[in-house]
Amino acid sequence: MAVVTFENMTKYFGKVGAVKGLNLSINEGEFMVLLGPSGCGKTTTMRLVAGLEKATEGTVSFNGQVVNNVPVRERNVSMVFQIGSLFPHMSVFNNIAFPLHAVRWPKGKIRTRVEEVAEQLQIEELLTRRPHELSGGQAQRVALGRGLVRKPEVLLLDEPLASVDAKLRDELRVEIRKIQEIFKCTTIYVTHDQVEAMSIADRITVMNLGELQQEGAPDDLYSKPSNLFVADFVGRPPMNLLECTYEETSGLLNFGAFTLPLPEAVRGKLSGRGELIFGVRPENLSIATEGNGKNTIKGKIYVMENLGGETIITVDAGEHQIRIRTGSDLASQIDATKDIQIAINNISKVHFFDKQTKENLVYK
Amino acid sequence: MSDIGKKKNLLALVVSPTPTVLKYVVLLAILLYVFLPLAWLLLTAVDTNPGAYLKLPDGLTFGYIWGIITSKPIKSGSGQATHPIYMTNWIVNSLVLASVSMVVVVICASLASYGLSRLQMRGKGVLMTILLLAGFMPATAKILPLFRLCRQLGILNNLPGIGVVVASGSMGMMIWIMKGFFDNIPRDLEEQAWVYGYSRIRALFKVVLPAAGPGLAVIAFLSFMRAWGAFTLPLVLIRKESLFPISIGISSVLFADPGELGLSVDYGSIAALCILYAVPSVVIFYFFRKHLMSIRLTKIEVR
Repeated sequence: MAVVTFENMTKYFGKVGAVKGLNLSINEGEFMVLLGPSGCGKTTTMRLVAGLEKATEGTVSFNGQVVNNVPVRERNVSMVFQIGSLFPHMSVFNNIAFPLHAVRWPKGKIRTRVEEVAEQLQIEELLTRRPHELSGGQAQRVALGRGLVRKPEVLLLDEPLASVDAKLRDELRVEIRKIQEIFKCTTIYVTHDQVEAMSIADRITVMNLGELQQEGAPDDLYSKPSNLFVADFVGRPPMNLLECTYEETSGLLNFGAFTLPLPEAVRGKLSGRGELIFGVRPENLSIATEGNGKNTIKGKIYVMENLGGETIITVDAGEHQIRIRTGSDLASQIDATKDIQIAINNISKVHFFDKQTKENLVYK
Repeated sequence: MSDIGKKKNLLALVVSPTPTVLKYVVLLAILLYVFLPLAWLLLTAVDTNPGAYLKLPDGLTFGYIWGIITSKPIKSGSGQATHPIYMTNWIVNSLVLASVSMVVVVICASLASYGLSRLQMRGKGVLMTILLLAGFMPATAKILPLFRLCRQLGILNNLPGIGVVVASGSMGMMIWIMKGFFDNIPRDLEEQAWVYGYSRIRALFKVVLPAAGPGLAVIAFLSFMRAWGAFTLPLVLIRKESLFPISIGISSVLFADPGELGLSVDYGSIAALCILYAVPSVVIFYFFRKHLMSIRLTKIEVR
């Protein structure tokens, strides 16, 4: 197990920058998720750890030792690609034993180790099977077993659940987390699915266009996004982001069709900034039964999506569209034909972003 | 509703019988066209009294075929009929030629196409085009330089040497086919092997080639069959009757004593030899057919 550190790590493919000046440290035994849209550099970052790509600039270190020039096969990392990338011509046993065959362990020792890992993963009875005889979940366990059999410095998981159907994905997600806890292995997990990232990670690193956007615990990313990209990317349905102007004399936020009073606490931080982007999470909004029009937003229901336990209501308010998340039983009582009032539940949980720099002005 | 039904029936009555009859007539013509020579061969090879004409056998015998296999070909027909004595050698020669050619193609084409599939390099497109064009070029076109080259290398009348020469003709095409197979093997597969401690060459043998097994089988089969059927190159490069492959041997019978009607040929043994010549392709194809069908350009499923 290793501490993995990136220092100013940069990777260019020709003129295209895949990773630009990444500085990041991953602790021993930590479950780190690299999150971002496709093309954000997360997979490249992982391949740099494995040694499948060479950094243009900067360094990758394991336990403080720079490994830039250590060849792939000497790094002792494990990589699990998309679910079930097992070798089709080998039995499950040989698939798991594969990394041990590489270093030519004696036969008996290999058998003991493979059986030990298989027991921990509860796949002992599958050892004689062929990969095509496994279910998706079993194949996943075997692939993890192969990754863990030789106690790697780092376990790399490259979108392991990308090609799995939704139901199985939820199950496997939990499994992967469980297994990681058993083996306590430093893990880097790459995904573009923020729900997956939130549920599985100790810490998340959000990347976009090759640059680190924010790193932190899932909760921090959710409640204190450091910029507009993170605010928009993390959370589903996404945060409502509304352009507005701050009128300092009246202390009001002007959204065009409506205004809201600015909470006292943040007035100081926003003074002198005219154009803002106001962010509020859908669950921080609710339908007000009776509004005075001063602290609420007037709007018309555009569409209601009942998701069973909860309902997402999309409301037209002037040129803005606002999403509200609310309980389904509450939503069923709403008369969709009439105008409604939207109230903010907790004014201290709203966000303000600079329109130019996209930075969060409250949490910096 | 009922009107339409009636009309349909009427139409079926008028139209359908004619095409059925026609279909069978056409099929029969095609069958005759394809199978008549084969039928002649089969009937002649097992005839106790084989001759130059298509007829039902006077009696059934496998003596001619067995005679060649056991290296004691039986003479048939009239006294002056030419009777080649090297028939058994020819079979062995063909096997040597085709096997050498196959081994050379499988080794070279698989390694070359793996490189072409995985590595980025300048002028790859041009190289691939040249290989393809070279594959389409008739071997006869290169006969002069090849003859001079073999002369200089001293491999005239040398079967393994000529096997290598024959292999060069099909190499371009085989590299193309094999590259198709490699292209469809996900890179993940070998990258995993590298990550798990394997060198490039070990990963190739442990992981990539097994996954490319069907492809190897296909190029092995195709290159074997191409060398088995090779004619022009052996004709020019082999000057000894005892070293002929079957293709040249069979034809040499007619060259040596053509006669106006080809009546002085020993038909029994030659027909038997032709059957033996045709058999491997059928047998091998039968066993390889599954793999041959898999020359389709989809991803190989990895689980």
